[in-house]
This record gives sequence, structure tokens and C-alpha cells, in this order.
Amino acid sequence: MPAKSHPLLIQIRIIGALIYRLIKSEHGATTFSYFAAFLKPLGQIMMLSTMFSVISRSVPIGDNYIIFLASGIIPYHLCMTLVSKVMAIHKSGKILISHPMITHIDLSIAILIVESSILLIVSVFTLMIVGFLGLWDFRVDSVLQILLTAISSIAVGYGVGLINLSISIRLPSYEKAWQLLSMPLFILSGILFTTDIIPKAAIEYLYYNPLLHITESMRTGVYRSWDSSFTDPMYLTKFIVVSIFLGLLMQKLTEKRARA
Amino acid sequence: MILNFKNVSVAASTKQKNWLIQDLSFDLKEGKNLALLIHDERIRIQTMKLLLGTIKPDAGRVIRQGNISTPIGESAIFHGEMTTENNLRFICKLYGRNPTKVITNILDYIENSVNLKSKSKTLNAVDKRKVAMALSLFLELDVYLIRGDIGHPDSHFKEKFETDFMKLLRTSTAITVSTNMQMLRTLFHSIITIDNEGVSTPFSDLEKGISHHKNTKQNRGAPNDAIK
Repeated sequence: MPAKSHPLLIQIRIIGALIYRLIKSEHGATTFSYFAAFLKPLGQIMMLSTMFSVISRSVPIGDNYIIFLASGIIPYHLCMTLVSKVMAIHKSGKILISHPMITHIDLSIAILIVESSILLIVSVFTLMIVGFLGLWDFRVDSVLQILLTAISSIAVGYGVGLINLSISIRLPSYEKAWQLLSMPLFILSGILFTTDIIPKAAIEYLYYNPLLHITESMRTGVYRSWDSSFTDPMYLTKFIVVSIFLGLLMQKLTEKRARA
Repeated sequence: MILNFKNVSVAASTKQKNWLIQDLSFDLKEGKNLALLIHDERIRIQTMKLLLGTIKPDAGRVIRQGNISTPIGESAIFHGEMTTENNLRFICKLYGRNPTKVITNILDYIENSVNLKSKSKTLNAVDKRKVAMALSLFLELDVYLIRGDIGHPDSHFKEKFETDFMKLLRTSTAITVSTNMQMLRTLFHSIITIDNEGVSTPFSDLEKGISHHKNTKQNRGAPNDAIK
């Protein structure tokens, strides 16, 4: 019998192996899939900005639609892609979970690392392509704020993803319900507007949408001339802590049912 | 001690407390291969899942300290879109083995009869089983699970594998839920029978265990109404 290694070392080893497999299988299967990861946010930004410039509405901040939309779509994408990927574990990872060495939490951490690094690289490239086309200058207000926003949107995505994973294990129809529920989120997350134009009564309800805080905080970081009066870092922190705690707790509670 | 069951019980469903397995206790010692003889197919599947760690017992504890293999020859974990070599690499990384070394060993062992560079989905089932069986030889795990038997359609490969597997079992331990009596008599040292009520009886003598298993099968009264 070989010498026992530390449990943490074993977990790191397993997560490493899973990352290798995820990269090889999900994205390395066809050469196009990496392109698709790049094209999705870029295409969305380009399409929406062309649409808006045709309608020729005035830009809420600055004079350029592309950077206005990019600063909204990028954090939204970071969060929502993670939610859907983590949520799909109990379907996509069924075979992996039945292996004696792998648990749900290993797989979710591996997915968190792989997906968020791909998404971050894609975001940086998207911004750089837009920048090199001369559509915005790279002099942003605060790089630190942008990084912080990216990290918090990843954390929100992971936490909500874990909660959704546990709910969809208990209620299989929840997956479809989530698709319906998350559709208005694209509109409600402030990608197309700033909170300045929203009436007070609506703000009271929209306050509870963490994605809106994230978008606003991203724009605070990008624009030098504009600061959001809406974004509340305390609420965002509370939301992240509570959602990750709840997600891990519910994952623990539904673990037995998930693996049967 | 590499695998330890302490008063393990599994309920048939969450609602009624109708036990599939009751108070199963054993201690798998190194080099003492153990066979679990089970009639009921449902109990067999649940026992396999307990060994794999896919489910947790409703009462009692399962303590697994060694590296446990997937059932020998099974390649369900191979991803169809990945090349077989990358699949093997993943499993080696999972158990912390050196992938390059293991893959060279496997290629030598199967005498280059399978193309590892192609995608796994292009392999036929016979070749896949061959690769998976060869892989289990070189991973050097603590516990090997056997479901069904360890046969292979290629008789040359089968003989070679059986002799090497016997050698491997000097340092590792095997546990099975198979009822292949010929394999039981050659490889295993002790038996635990589990009858349809989930009650387990240990036997250190192989023949006694096998005859007990056969008797309980004959004495089975009305068919278990839980199986539908």
C-alpha cells in the first residue's frame, strides 16, 4: 500500500485531472468551439450596437455604443455562463460522478476554474479588439474596480449555479423554469440603460438584482466622467456570501439524492 | 485496512424503511480477496454503488482509504470526442500516475493492436475493453472491483491478462459482486452472502459459502414483491 497523501493534495490532483478533461472534451473537441466562445459576446455587442446606431438613440454615457454595451454584456456573460454550466453538472457529469474518485464539488470547482478563465480571456480580447478598431481609448477609470467587478460576477455565478444545481436535482422541471426566469434578466440587468433614467418606484425592486449592481459598478470602473449612484458594494458582498453559503449547504443536503 | 464497512444499511426507498441491506460489516484486508454473493439484482446494484461511493449508506459507515478502481474492463468514463490516449491520460492524472509511462506500458501490453490516437467513439467495444483492462493492470491501485467477469473475446489476450492479474493481486486486493463460480474458486479467499432480506452471513470457507448461496436460492419462498 503506497503512503497516504494529504486529502487536500488528492483533491487538487483530481481537480487538475478534471480541468484537463474539461478542456480536451468540451472545448477541444472541434476547433470551432473556441472561436464560438469568442464570437458569442463579440457578436452580441456588434449586433446590438449596430442596431442602436441605426435607430440613432443617444448613448446614455459617453458617445460610443460599443463600449457602453461591452461594459454591460461582459460581466453579464461571465455570470450567466457560469450559472448554466454549474447547473448542468448533474446531467453533463453523470458518468464522471459515478467514478469512485470524483464528487460534485470537485467537478464544480473544475468547471469554475475552466469557464471563468476562458470567459476572462475572451473578455479581455473582446475589449482589445474593440480598442484596436479605435472605438474606445484604453484609458479606463479604474482597472481595480473592473477586476473586482469581474470577480464578483464570477462569484455570483458560482453561488447561484450551485443553488440552481441543488434545486434542479430535486425538481427536474426547474431547469426549464430557470430558462424562462432568466430571460428578462438581460433587460433588467441594465445592459441597455443606466439606472439614472429609471423611476424611483422601480429602483426599489431592481435594487435586489445583483447583476444590475455589477453592470453599474463595471461602468463606474470604465468611464472616467461617470459614477453610478446606484451600485451598493455592501449588498453585492452580502449576496455573494449568502448565495455561496446556501449553494454549498444545499449541495451537501442534496448530494445523496443526486448520486442515487 | 483499505476498505471498511461498519454496520452498513441501505433502505429500499426514502419513505418506507424496508431494508435492502442490513448491518453489513466487513473489513477488507490486503491480499484477502472478498466475494459478495447476492441473488437480488437490486441489492447487487446498490452494493456496487456503495463500493464505488456513488451512494452513501442510510445507516453505518463506509471507510475507504485506498485507491479504488472502476469495475475492471469498463470504459464508461472514456469521452467519445477525446482520443483514447487523452482519456487514458485523464485517468492516470486522476490517480496521480505518470501518464506517459502508463500509456507506453499499455501499448506494449496490447501489442499495438489498437490505435490510441483516434477518437474513443471510433473504437469498437472489444478494443475498448482491451484498453480498459490493460489500463487497470498498470494503475497499481489498492482495490480492484470486478463486475461480471474478467474475460475477453481475444483468447490470447485473455490468458495473458489472467496470469498478470493474478500476479497483481499479490500486492492489491479484489472485491467482486459477480457469481462466476469458476473465477470465485480461483481468485477469492472469503465470501459474504447477502440474502433477499438483506441479511449478510460471512464465510471464510469458499465451498460452504457457495453451497449456502445455492441453498438460499432454492429455499426462496414467494417472490419478493418489491421487485417489479
